[in-house]
Amino acid sequence: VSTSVCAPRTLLLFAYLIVANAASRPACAQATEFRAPRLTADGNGIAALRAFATIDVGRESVAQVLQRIAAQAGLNLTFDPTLPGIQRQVVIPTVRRAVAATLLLTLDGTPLAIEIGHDARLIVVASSLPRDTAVVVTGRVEDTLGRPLMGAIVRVAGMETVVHSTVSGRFMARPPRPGRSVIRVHLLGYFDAERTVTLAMGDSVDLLFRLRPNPLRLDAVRTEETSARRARFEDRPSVGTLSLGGAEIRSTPRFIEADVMRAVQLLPGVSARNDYSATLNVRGGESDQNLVLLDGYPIYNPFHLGGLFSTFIAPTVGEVTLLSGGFPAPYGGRLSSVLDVHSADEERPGMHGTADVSLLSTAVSLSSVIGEGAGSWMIAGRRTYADAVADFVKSNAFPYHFSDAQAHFTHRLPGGAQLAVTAYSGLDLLATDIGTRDENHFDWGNEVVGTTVSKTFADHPTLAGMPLGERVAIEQRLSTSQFHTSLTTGLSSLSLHSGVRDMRAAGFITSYTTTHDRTLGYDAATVRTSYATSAPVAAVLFDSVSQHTSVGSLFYDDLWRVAPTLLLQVGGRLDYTGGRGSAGFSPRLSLKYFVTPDLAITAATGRYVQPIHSLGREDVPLRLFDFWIASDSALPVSHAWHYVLGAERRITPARTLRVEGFYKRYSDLLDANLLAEPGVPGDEFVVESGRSYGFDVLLQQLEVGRFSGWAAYTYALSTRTQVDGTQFFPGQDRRHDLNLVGNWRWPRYTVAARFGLATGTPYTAVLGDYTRRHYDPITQTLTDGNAPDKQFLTGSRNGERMPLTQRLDVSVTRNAHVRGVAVSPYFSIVNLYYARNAIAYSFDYRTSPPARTDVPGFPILPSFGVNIAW
Amino acid sequence: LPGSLARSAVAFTTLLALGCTIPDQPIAPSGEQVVVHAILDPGSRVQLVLVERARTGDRNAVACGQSGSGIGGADVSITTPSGVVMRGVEDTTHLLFGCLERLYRVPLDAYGMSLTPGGTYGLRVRTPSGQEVTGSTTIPDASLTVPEPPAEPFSFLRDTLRLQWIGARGAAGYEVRVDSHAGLELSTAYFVSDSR
Repeated sequence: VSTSVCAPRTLLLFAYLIVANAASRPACAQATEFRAPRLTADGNGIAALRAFATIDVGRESVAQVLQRIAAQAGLNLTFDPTLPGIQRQVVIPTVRRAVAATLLLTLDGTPLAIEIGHDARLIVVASSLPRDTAVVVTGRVEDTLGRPLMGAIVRVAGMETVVHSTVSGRFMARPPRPGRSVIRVHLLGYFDAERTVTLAMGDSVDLLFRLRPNPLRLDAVRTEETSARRARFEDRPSVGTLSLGGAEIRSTPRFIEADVMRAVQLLPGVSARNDYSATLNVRGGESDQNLVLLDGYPIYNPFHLGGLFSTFIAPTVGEVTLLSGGFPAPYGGRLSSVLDVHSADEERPGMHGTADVSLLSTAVSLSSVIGEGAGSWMIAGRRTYADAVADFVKSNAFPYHFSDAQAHFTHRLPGGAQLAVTAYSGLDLLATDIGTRDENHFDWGNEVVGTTVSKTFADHPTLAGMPLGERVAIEQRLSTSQFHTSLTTGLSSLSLHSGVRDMRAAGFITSYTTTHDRTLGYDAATVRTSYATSAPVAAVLFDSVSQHTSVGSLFYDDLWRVAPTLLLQVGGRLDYTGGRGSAGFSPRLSLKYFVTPDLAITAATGRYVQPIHSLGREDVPLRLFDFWIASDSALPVSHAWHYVLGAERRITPARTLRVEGFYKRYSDLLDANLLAEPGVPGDEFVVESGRSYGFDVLLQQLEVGRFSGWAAYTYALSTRTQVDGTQFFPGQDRRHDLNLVGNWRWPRYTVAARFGLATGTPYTAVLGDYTRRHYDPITQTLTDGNAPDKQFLTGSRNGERMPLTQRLDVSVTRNAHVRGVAVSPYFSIVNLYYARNAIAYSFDYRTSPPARTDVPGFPILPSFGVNIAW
Repeated sequence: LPGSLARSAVAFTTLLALGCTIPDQPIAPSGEQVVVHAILDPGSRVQLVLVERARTGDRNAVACGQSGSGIGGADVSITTPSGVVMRGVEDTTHLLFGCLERLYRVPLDAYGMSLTPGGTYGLRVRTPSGQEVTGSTTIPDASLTVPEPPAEPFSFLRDTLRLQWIGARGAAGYEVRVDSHAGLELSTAYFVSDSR
């Protein structure tokens, strides 16, 4: 067929021009001739035609149905409304099927066909030629049960092309000449069928082919897709970026149960304060300098039991990404790192679940997909039961528990948008009630609710005629996140209430082209912080702070594929802190240069700001949680500059070596003022500057055989400088930190082991003590008061070092299946060979010589449990 | 033993040896540290200065009871704003919880002096071993207030005690102490200057 695409009434008339995604398409192209192929059931390889859609039509004309399909599927479809048969009434069942199949079904039984122009435009044409000029063979292909077979190849001897049967099994072919014709039908999985007909000029014949099944045994086919890690290596600079999948997190040796934060602690650049802490110190930074995100929503204190466990329920975690430095412009608000925790999205049809039963707690999750890939949902909960077990022995013997509940939901909205909702609630509760008003109540926890709507516009979208790129992605997030703590002791003799509430809106638009991914985004939040303590009986004053501030950011990020060997990511962030009324610009730059396809040099630099701070002291080895406070007229915004230089080598597809050196310079860091006057607001902090530098190494083996694991080593040196110029090592400063993590899999057993070796963190030595005397103006004497008030004489701040620490943790898991359910009992031992690590010292100067006693780390800690998954 | 098992055993034994540390250990005493407790009380004609060693593990500084060991023979003096140096006299008879303390009394009457609110006074302590401690303080421009005890029985669990006093210029804060009739300290409150 020859035609032109816009000359009216040459061969076809275009009464309607239905255009969708019409970007950059001229209103009238120059007339060209082409030989158009017919539309086939597989959509001729065109993505829009192969996409599945539910076309909702009732009894309508073919023309109306075609218009509806074109509009709904975003097709460029052209037809002449005067074509014979185009006004015929048809009924299309509302069933989800490929767009191409729906089109063919619409035209089935009509004298119409669809041809595909060279620019993927669809043209409806009359399908038959005059009967007196040709012979026509029509027919139907079906199986032995009479069901129509679509996609059968119908070959007529002498024809240069073949035709395919439609969804109703129909086909039509035109033998090149009258006379004897052999028609052969072929369909994978069926025996071929053949018929011979003899036709005179102008004759037609209608045939029925009933195919017998012929199952085929095919050789195994191995396909390989570029792994996500490889794609990240090739597509982005990814400086300081490491990811752990949910399976990797769950396969590291567990401290009683699998824990996200404890797995992240084993990565290079990350160190833990001590055994009892699941908090993170990243490349020399303080633990409040980490932005922890749950599906993109901030979570302020993601820990239970004083940092012993994190709040994330392991089975709900799909992937964790740690950005340990030099992170790009879309991330801000913290000085050291970003920990991006993504919920697992269920992809398997049917209902699935997990149950993790440990000595400490039980965690249960349920998940499923919605419809045919329209979305997914997941709910999970966890609760400890040490309190319930202790109740069997003695009532209220251990009145503490923590619990978590999490839900994650995704759904595709009409128009192709994607909705995601995440909700999390966690609570730690310590309450003793002895039946009177003398009740001690201590609770703390996080609540996070967030929703994200995202949409991707493909096929060169435009805005007011302006091209936006080959593809555009838009995302909008709304969230609220709060952390609260409340302490009330008996008779309300002491009460403490503290909290932070973050209400946030954030979003971005990204334009993708061949050479650039440009992102423009914003982040705006109101943050309420409060801290109030009172002791009415003791009449002692404490500081109380209540703040309501706003923070906002605008950012721009451009990932530029300069050359096949060079990636450049450049951007900036304009941050505003309402409480202080200050704004500042933070440039970001990172690059990756591929020396070879498997070896890349990386570098990054950037400025980072932090307007929210923790009241916690890094020198204290055990911290229950952080109290948060915002920058205001008295508290400056902290700043840091990152400089990162590294190299990444893909030794094999499954083995990676990464080395990164870093230098960080801090200013306006806030440290607790030990001389703060109670009741005087604004003197809680002193301002310091500082620096951290070092390098970290990661050698990682992905799971391709029996073994997977990694070796991570970090060398770091951190110093802080007080206003008077005095330098000291911050409490998290750890010079050497080595972690070896291994996982060995056999069909029946999995063994995981982790060995950690680290040099000590600094501490302030106690050189002596004395009892502070109190002067009694009534008796005019110096006394010890009602209770001796011991005061310590200390050496220089953090002038001493704790000794080397080491630990070997091992767990063994039995891999078993019971009626399709994976049942995996495990046994784990923390500190297998009982290394006596000290986390702190206590000093006794009552004797001569004085004695120093270790505050011990983990003892040998065996535990067991079972993971069930279906 | 098979090679791999033997290697594992050697590695485990090595780790076990590495893991052995001693949790409690004696440490070397730090040097002598002098602690001076002193207060200027305008309501008293004798000012008290207590000089002792902090407990540092030194054999000479082993504590007696809750206290450190006193330092006798020290040269203690208070210098008035007008430059008069008032020397302290060592009291070798003062016992606290059965322990002899080295208390130095500075008698104002011996120098015909009084403490002046608003005045800045210096303190100097020199021990026989040559260590010297100095300090200074400014007496707030305030007078001691002792309110009359309430006429009715007072329960700190039930009743509210309202107090007021005249503010003192230059005072950083105030201490308010509530004693029972029996002299037992019930409560001590500290207030900053603008929170009374």
